[in-house]
Amino acid sequence: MSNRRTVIPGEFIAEGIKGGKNTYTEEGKVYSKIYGFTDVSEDIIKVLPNKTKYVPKPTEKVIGIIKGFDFRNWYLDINSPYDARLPISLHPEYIESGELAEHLEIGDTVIAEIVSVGNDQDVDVKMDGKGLKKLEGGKIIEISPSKVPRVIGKNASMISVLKKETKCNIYVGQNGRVWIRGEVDEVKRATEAIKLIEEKAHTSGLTDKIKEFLQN
Amino acid sequence: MKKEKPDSFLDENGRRLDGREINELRPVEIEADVLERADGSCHIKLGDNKILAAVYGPREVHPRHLQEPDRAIVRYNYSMASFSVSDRKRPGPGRRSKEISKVSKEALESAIFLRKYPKSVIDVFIEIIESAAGTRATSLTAASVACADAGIPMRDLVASCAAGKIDGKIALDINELEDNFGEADVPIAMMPRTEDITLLQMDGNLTREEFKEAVQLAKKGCKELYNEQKNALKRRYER
Amino acid sequence: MGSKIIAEIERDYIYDLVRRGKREDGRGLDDFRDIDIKTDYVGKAEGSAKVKLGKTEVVVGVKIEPGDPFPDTPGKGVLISNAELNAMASPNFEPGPPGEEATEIARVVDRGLRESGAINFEKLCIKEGEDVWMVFVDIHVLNQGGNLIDVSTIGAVSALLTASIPHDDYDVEEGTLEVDTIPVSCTSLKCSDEILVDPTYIEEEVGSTRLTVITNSEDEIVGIQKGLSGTWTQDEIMEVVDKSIRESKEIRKLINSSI
Repeated sequence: MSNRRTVIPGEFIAEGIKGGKNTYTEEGKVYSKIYGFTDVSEDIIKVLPNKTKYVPKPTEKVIGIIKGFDFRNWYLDINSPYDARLPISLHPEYIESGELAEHLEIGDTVIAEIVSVGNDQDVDVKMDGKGLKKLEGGKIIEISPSKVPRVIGKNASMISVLKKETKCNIYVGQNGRVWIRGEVDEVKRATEAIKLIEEKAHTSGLTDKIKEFLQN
Repeated sequence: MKKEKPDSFLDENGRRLDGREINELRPVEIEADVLERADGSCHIKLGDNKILAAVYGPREVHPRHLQEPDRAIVRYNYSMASFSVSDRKRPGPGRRSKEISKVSKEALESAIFLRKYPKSVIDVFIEIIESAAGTRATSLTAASVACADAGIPMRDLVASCAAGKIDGKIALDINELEDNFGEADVPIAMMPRTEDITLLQMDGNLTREEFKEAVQLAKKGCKELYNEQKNALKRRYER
Repeated sequence: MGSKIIAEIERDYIYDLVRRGKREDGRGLDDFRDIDIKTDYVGKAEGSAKVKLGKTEVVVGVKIEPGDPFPDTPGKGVLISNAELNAMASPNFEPGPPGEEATEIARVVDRGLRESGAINFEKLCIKEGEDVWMVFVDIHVLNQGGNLIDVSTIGAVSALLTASIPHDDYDVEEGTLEVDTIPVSCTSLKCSDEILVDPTYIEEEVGSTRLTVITNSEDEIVGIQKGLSGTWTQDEIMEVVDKSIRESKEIRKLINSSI
């Protein structure tokens, strides 16, 4: 995590190195496509976005909100330009056509896993899998999906600190939605800590800073 | 309520009525990320112009039939507040607003990597709070900062500026008086790194040489504005 | 444009907080958010104000021009209030002419200005039956953070208090703009059987019903508007009226010190 530099679209980053995510290369020169921070490793340079929209990818687990349903599928808002579809066949319980509301209603919040993204951006999710379930109680906050790795931390280091210091249940969806459940005041502190991580994601020593913030 | 035409626009030292040199921009201030709910936003002051740009997107397209299967579409909505001009403007988009929206949308589209977000829309909203000539260029300058702020992938920012002709001389960033009684207006927009031009319009009467000079001068203005755009975005993290 | 769906969890969380007398931003049920007023914001307008109420943001411009009086009031000036919910203000707003929400805001603000006697319409007369000053109040919402009616009233009043008639532009000596009283609105929301003041946009989405009370500098009630579906009991209404009179006093002080 050395020297993260702020870059803007079209800004020259480096030459003679491979350009990775959110960069483009012209005549050997690497430029940023977005407003964000450079992430340099030995052989490749990436740019991490500051703000971004969630683009669903198979196997990612997301927190979705039921926004509608028909006879055989629920439709979820997954905090993305693309909605997701949950067919009854991918729900763990046996459900008859037309009985969807008895299991999941509009406004219900679930942890679901992206199964497939079609060529036409049709997104299918499933709920029959380990850790996939309906969420009860707690609250939801939204952060930029690009900050999710920082909130989880290397080897879950950051999220462990958050859980330990606030004694809350916390689940971070890859789509930038975070579920927090615990004592009212602790939920508030956890929320503040997560917002702080989001704001300072580009700085180093963040895990320690957050620990300090929560211990005071 | 028309003001009267001044006897001349340039004094004996070649300075303009507002004290500027012929190739000088009006004072400019740009701030990014100023609105809470928009995905990206930018406030710009240029001379007496006060303009707000906001971006939502990429997001779902409504109505559905407007979506493109392989890329995002851009919608640009340029709107002037009734109180933004001396004679109150009736609310609602007139033909001028519609034309400006179209050419501005096209100017931005060239810079955006649209294929990254198929079947979605990037909505750009411009509100002119106070208007003082050069609003279409200034709006576009703000719009591209708002797009960057929203995390939209682009080849480059888009900077936009106009040159005009007063007292027979080509001048940069003409103000209201100069615009009302001037002899030409040439707004351009460009992507600063490659100097590729994405918006070009011309109104008035110019020789070929004068036109070339106007475009050169406007490009210089765009480069100066680009520095301000860059600073506004980089500064955001020091707030 | 599909309105964003509110998760049941979010709704329950806010209800839970409210039952404990708290709100998500740390306020008490009776607290207004911070208010920031900047007048003379738009040089070209005859009067203007940029107001922030928490994160809700609005710019109000006052334009004054000569025009024809209404046939039934030949010696009185004219007030026309208009509100626009710019699509930049919320993911749920679409570009287009004012819809019912914008129209309601304009009419409620207008009611406050008119019924409070804030504007002396006779003093706006230039020549009876022929020429009067027309006062246009245009409200532009820039960020929908909740409670658009109150922020619009504060903006409209602040803009009017600092506005002046452009006599020189039209070469007309007659007419003065006198604002004799300061109407202020206070909006309350019923949420999980508690009453909260100055709702945020999320609170508005999960609350059941709204009540706006407008008072003038003499603490007289000059306008009331119930909003959203849901019901109020008479006792609740009187509680809201009393709260509104109290809160409006504070806001009025702030307006006076900002202009």
